[in-house]
Amino acid sequence: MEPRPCDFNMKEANSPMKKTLSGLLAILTLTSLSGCLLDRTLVNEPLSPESIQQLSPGKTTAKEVVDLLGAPNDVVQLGKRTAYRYDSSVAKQAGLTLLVITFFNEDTRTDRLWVFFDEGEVLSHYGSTLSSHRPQYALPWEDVHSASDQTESDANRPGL
Amino acid sequence: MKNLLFCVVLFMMLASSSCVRLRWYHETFDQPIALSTYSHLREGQSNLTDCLAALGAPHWVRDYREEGVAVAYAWLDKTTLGFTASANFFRLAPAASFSFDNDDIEWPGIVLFFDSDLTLTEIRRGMLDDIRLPNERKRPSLVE
Repeated sequence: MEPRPCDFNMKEANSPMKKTLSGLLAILTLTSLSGCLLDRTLVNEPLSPESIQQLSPGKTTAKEVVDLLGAPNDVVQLGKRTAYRYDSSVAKQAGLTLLVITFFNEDTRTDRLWVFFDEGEVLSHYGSTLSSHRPQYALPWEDVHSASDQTESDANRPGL
Repeated sequence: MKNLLFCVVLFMMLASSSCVRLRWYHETFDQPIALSTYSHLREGQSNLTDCLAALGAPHWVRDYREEGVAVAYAWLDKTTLGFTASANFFRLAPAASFSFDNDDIEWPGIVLFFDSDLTLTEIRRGMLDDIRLPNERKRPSLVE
């Protein structure tokens, strides 16, 4: 028996509609169950490279260091010597939730300065590391230590 | 069409907060120190000035033996994969859950030891909990 002209082929007629519906459902599901996060945490003010350059071993006294940099974050007694710590840190967090999986990355970098004084409270040694400008918003599979990224971020920090 | 709806409903159920969760976390803290950064330092020859110039400021400084000093550098580059599955069997049993995480944090780092003249005596590299000396004195603290 031949089909009549008015017979409706359900399979063929539903195919584009099914695709559209599936697409809409997929988009709806993805958008309703996804989320993202960007956050930045700063602990203490970043250290000033210009201030650190003024330190002079054998000359600068503990009082002058405190006048220049403020109160230290930590003081350590090393026998007759003492050491002061100054530090600051910046952490950048990025997160992405897609349905049942959450990707999260946290990159923390610090500025650190240790100043060592002899028993006469005169600066004998100091060491500094300035990297609080380097953290990145990234996803877990990204390399946050690439040399090119660091060169770029170093160029944007005055005094380095 | 029924299959599609079933898949969507199942997916929504799994994705709801109490069913299944997967986590991929990556945490970095400062930058790992390459061996080449301090390979030129020599025990018995290099001093604190050389070490600070090569490695920058340490993360912590402690006294060590008689008038000596220990300085440590640390970093972290850790990936954590996690899985949580939970279900609430209403009126049948208390909520059941299972989770897995490989997130025991161990800090890699290096510790440098100096004698009373601040001459380098030893460099240790590894996990900080393992390489700190047992006789390392703790800083005095206030007793309340």
